[in-house]
Amino acid sequence: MKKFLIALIGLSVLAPMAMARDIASVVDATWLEANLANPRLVVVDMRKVEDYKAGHITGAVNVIGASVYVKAGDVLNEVPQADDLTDVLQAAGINADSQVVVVDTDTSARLAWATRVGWTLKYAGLENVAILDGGYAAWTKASKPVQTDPVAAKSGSFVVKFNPAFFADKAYVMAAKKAQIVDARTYDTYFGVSKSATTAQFGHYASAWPLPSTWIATADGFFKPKADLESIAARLGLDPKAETIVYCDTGVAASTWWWIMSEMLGWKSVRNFDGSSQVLAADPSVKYIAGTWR
Amino acid sequence: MGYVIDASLTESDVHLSQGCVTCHSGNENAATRDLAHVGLVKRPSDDTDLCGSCHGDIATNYSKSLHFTTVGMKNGVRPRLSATDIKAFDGKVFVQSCNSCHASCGDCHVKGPTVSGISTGLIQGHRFVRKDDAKTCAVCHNGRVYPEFTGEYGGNADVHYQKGMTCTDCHKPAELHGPEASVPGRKALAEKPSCVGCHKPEAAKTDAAKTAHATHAGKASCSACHSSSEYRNCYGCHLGAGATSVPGLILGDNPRKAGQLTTLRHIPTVRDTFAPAGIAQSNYDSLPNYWDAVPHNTKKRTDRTRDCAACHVAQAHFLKESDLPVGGSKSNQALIFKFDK
Ligand code: HEC
Ligand code: HEC
Ligand code: HEC
Ligand code: HEC
Ligand code: HEC
Ligand code: HEC
Ligand code: HEC
Ligand code: HEC
Repeated sequence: MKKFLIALIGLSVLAPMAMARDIASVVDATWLEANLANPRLVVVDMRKVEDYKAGHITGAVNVIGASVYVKAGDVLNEVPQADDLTDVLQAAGINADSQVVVVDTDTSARLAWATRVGWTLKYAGLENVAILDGGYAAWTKASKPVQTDPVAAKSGSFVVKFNPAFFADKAYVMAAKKAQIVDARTYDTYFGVSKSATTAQFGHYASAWPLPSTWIATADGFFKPKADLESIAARLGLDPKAETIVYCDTGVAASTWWWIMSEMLGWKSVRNFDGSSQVLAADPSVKYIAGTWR
Repeated sequence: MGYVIDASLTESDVHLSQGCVTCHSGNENAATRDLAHVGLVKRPSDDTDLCGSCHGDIATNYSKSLHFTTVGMKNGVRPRLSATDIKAFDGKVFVQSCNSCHASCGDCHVKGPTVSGISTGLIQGHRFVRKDDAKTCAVCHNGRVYPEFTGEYGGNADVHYQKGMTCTDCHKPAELHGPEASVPGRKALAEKPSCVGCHKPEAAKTDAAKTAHATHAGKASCSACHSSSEYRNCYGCHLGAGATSVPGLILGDNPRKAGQLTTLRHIPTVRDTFAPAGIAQSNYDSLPNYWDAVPHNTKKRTDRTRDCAACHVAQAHFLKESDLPVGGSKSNQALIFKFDK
């Protein structure tokens, strides 16, 4: 009886987690056009209001990026509080079973911002979140349908419930001795010849693997094929089964590899360190290492 | 690129069908560019009579508007100046430093304004557009209002921008084209947006909001609770050298409405700002260094709407004696807010 109960409890805890995604993690313009009429689909255009009003994917709602990453105290690009994020997602017409496609300008310069929004929505508890490959630029280049009238969505019912398994803070990172830590910044920053103004120290966190976010896109601004991305991580020596934590300067670039590892390649335990170096390197007890590779 | 004119407009648009020289002068029949441009007028709409020949009322009002006269800036410093100072100020400083920023009709309707030598060029190939906030308002108001509104400065976008509103959803032609009779500054405008013009604080959705609103009516401004993050405050301006800007969210006593707690913005005029022009500001202490501001970074929830103690216990963001600029105006003291009991 007792065993049975435990099994039951175990199941009920696991059940919501086990709900599988039923949309690819990255979709292309052709797929999106074919699915525009799907009532569960919500196309989220994260560009500025002015750009959105000048033209957007037919039916797309506008959720500016600045609604999804905010400054909290002195820390840039943080996840909003649950009630604020709930307001934003409900206003966009999002329900728990929605299939949300995130659209930014393009996937070269802006790719990390799209995956950052993607990560935040996954972390907020949504299952079916995808990124439009190539962004709005690829959509217009392919002459897909656009409109200028803003779309007012019927209010959705989704309530944010953060999934702690996708998230790391400073204390978690410092305690995670066995995890493989991935640094998604450029080689220059990793090695310590340059640094962002928001990061207090040159170099990288001890034992981190350098894996720049700029490696994930092709020259014409699309995600590289899955096999190529998988092989980059493999050649570096990363273990898909080990716990992985990705960081950068403010948790935006890091979301690229989080997206690839967790959503595209299906690694089971990947966390984005939201505060990243901005928080970590500001702690004088943490010593970043400059002038060495791993 | 930004200067290429959409050829189809030269016939279809009522403005361009007049021919370029009606507005720009110059010589249509000249053989070379240099000769054609002799006598060319780059900013034809600086002469409001030009547009006024067809848009009479707008042009008549506009010639009195703050955007055209920029007297708001002049009147902002005037009380600090003696009679002789005023003469020198109007002659030297005002024309070069303030009025050079004034807006022509074309700055809002035809061409992105030139700021610090940079221009984004014509809007839609010289079409006469009703509005294009991003290419017009945003360019001149790029120091504080626009970046605060979009979240680029301060990191928290205004809820109205989040909901798809832009400048001209609140600032209407009746305000921007100017009043029928001239006013000394924007506070005297009859037509201007106000929070309560669109929101009835007593009609909020939740009881918590209704109570907070009822208890503080007249005692704390809307922004005192709803301004979400730091906005730009400028310090230490010297003629010709400019000012430095520091982010801050500052709460203090409203200099225009004593007893009300509100958001204050530090303005950069210091005692010797106009010294290079030989202007003394004899009455410097008659005005404070901070003015009440409506920062364009409104949010429903802030640290203060979430916690009454932020004001009533911690006095978070309250202007303190130690914050006051050294050698600042003696009027600053009065802006430090003190609870009644
Ligand atoms: C010869 C008369 C004439 C002159 C001069 C003129 N306008 Fe107009 N303007 C018109 C007319 C007529 C319309 C209405 C056109 C329409 O509804 O299509 C108009 C419309 C406009 C509009 C609204 C456009 C829209 O899309 O609704 C703007 C803005 C404008 N004018 C600005 C100006 C400015 C600035 C000047 C001076 C540089 C100017 N006009 C000079 C006749 C004129
Ligand atoms: C060419 C530069 C320029 C452009 C373009 C411009 N402004 Fe201004 N604006 C100014 C200046 C300078 C002042 C200060 C005028 C004064 O009070 O002396 C001002 C003042 C204001 C004020 C306060 C005074 C008032 O009239 O209410 C508002 C509001 C405002 N601008 C909004 C806008 C909006 C909205 C737009 C776009 C439709 C815009 N501005 C475009 C330069 C500009
Ligand atoms: C500070 C910016 C600004 C300046 C300067 C300005 N306008 Fe406008 N104007 C606006 C805005 C905003 C609208 C309303 C746009 C809308 O919402 O459709 C408008 C509308 C108009 C229209 C459309 C008809 C109407 O009455 O709404 C005309 C015509 C026009 N303006 C002419 C002029 C002329 C002529 C001048 C100069 C004498 C001028 N404007 C100066 C901002 C400005
Ligand atoms: C009805 C009046 C009118 C007519 C006609 C007109 N323009 Fe303009 N033009 C303007 C206004 C207004 C501006 C914006 C400058 C300002 O604020 O006055 C402008 C700006 C320009 C500029 C940018 C100037 C600069 O260096 O900043 C160019 C170039 C220009 N016009 C070319 C033309 C040409 C070519 C034609 C004929 C096809 C033409 N315009 C006809 C009113 C007019
Ligand atoms: C939701 C409405 C709303 C929107 C949208 C809005 N404003 Fe305002 N704005 C206000 C209010 C309210 C005031 C305060 C008026 C007063 O002083 O009584 C104000 C004041 C101003 C002032 C004068 C005060 C100052 O800080 O200089 C300027 C300039 C201004 N707005 C520019 C803009 C510009 C540019 C935009 C677009 C980026 C914009 N506003 C968008 C409501 C709005
Ligand atoms: C021109 C009208 C207008 C002005 C002026 C205006 N607002 Fe708004 N405000 C709106 C609209 C429209 C919305 C969006 C309502 C919606 O979509 O639910 C909004 C939304 C809001 C919200 C979010 C409400 C919610 O339920 O999420 C707050 C808070 C707010 N405004 C406060 C202010 C404050 C404070 C001011 C003055 C600084 C102000 N507003 C000025 C029209 C205005
Ligand atoms: C003492 C702080 C305080 C002041 C001052 C204040 N508010 Fe609020 N306001 C609140 C609180 C608390 C809420 C509820 C926030 C929440 O839902 O978490 C709120 C909510 C709102 C909302 C959202 C309304 C809704 O229906 O949920 C609007 C709009 C608003 N306020 C406008 C205003 C305006 C306009 C003023 C100025 C007349 C103002 N507030 C002054 C504390 C304040
Ligand atoms: C932005 C700062 C601020 C916040 C936040 C704030 N208050 Fe106040 N409160 C004031 C000010 C200022 C006064 C007027 C005090 C005075 O004049 O001495 C005031 C006055 C009051 C009064 C006395 C009213 C009267 O009639 O004299 C009460 C009760 C009160 N607040 C309760 C609250 C509660 C409850 C909350 C949380 C929902 C809250 N306040 C949040 C600033 C604030």
